[in-house]
Amino acid sequence: MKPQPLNPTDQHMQVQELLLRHAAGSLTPEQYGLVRRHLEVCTECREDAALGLQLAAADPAMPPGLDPERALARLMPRLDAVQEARQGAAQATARAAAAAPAAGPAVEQEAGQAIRQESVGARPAASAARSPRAPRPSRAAALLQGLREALAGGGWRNWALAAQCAAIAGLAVLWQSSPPTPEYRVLGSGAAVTPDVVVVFKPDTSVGQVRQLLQATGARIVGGPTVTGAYLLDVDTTQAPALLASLRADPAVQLAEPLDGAAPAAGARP
Amino acid sequence: MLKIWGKGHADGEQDEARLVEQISRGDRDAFQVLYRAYFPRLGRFLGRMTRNAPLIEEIINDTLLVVWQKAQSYDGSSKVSTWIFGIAYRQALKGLRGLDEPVEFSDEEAAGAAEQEPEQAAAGKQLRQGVMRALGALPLEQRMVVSLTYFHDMAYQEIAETMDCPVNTVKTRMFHARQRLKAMLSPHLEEIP
Repeated sequence: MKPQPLNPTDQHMQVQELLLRHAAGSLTPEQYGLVRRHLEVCTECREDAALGLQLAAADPAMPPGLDPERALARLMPRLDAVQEARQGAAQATARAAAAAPAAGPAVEQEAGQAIRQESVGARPAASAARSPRAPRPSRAAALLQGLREALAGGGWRNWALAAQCAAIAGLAVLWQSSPPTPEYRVLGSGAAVTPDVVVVFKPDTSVGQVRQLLQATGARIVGGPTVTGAYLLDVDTTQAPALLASLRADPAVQLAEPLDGAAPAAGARP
Repeated sequence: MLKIWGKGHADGEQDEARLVEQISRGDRDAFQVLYRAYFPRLGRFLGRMTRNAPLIEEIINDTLLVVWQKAQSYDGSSKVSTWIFGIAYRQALKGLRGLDEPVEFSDEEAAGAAEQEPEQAAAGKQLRQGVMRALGALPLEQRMVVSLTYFHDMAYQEIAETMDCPVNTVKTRMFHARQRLKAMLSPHLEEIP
């Protein structure tokens, strides 16, 4: 690019930016020429150039006491938990989608059947090598019961909601039947649980509305839709309570619940 | 410590993108390569925020675990380094929440220039100590903008993405940081030959 004649102010601004990379040696020859000429006439830039050299010369070493191989050895087992959780969720979604897809009041019965089949039957391949564990239904059942109580009365819409909750409870049961290792379930500054949230949208929701909502909340679909149209979302778990509130407040959302520990569930508690 | 960019730099960026793509398919060897490449860079970066070595290792591990989980969602719209440093910065802010860690400079870190004459080495060490002390005195956001610029060769746009703030905010922080550093270091500036 041929050098353009710049007015002094623009030239000064340009050199100010170039000085950020000047000491690191990453400018082009033309840029070095421009800087050199400008430094002859500009005190402020001369000072900034000197500062840049000082900073570059003081490039800090790693803090003492760090051990990359030891840290890596601690991390590798945590990768397993993430992969198994992902496989478990994918397989749960696939089986739920494969169940009978009827709509209406009969859905709950069929969804219940699908849940029973899934609970008793095949296990995710990832845990085939381990001894089988019985599903822990207490939280899912309590969730379902609480929601049923909350929905007492209200006709067919409540049946549809209850049916969706049954499917969700089924997913939650499956989720818990191959739980992540304690390390993975850890808290603190760490590993995001994937997926975190189950969402059901109202029947007339458009794809555009869904997309808008996802962008606004930073959520990502990682599974679904299930037979009753439930989606599994990945969210930033540190913001899960606020995100769940946003989701629930959205007119397009019928129901939004956390999956195991991301945030308090609305209403029901075991 | 001069870095020569150019063709080598672009190749490095492509290599990293390829590693992320392999990681997204569950390749643990690729993951370990990326981990080992980023550990020192993240260590130096996080060292500007805390001196606590176990905490730094935990933050690095949490960062790379997010990389492992989210590799499929990396879409190349920013550089791999920007993406990873951004995750690390957020993890660090979470990990340091509530901790008021003073960032003291320790003598062990004045990486010696052993080949120099003793007087030059001593003068160099003193300059470095002065700079690190001055850096430690800056507010966190200003310190991180300076660190990412001069020690990690990031441009304003990349820093904005890493720190999740507008580019103008980065420029403002840099302006104030430079003013303060020059004021703190001005007695030293005359010593540069």
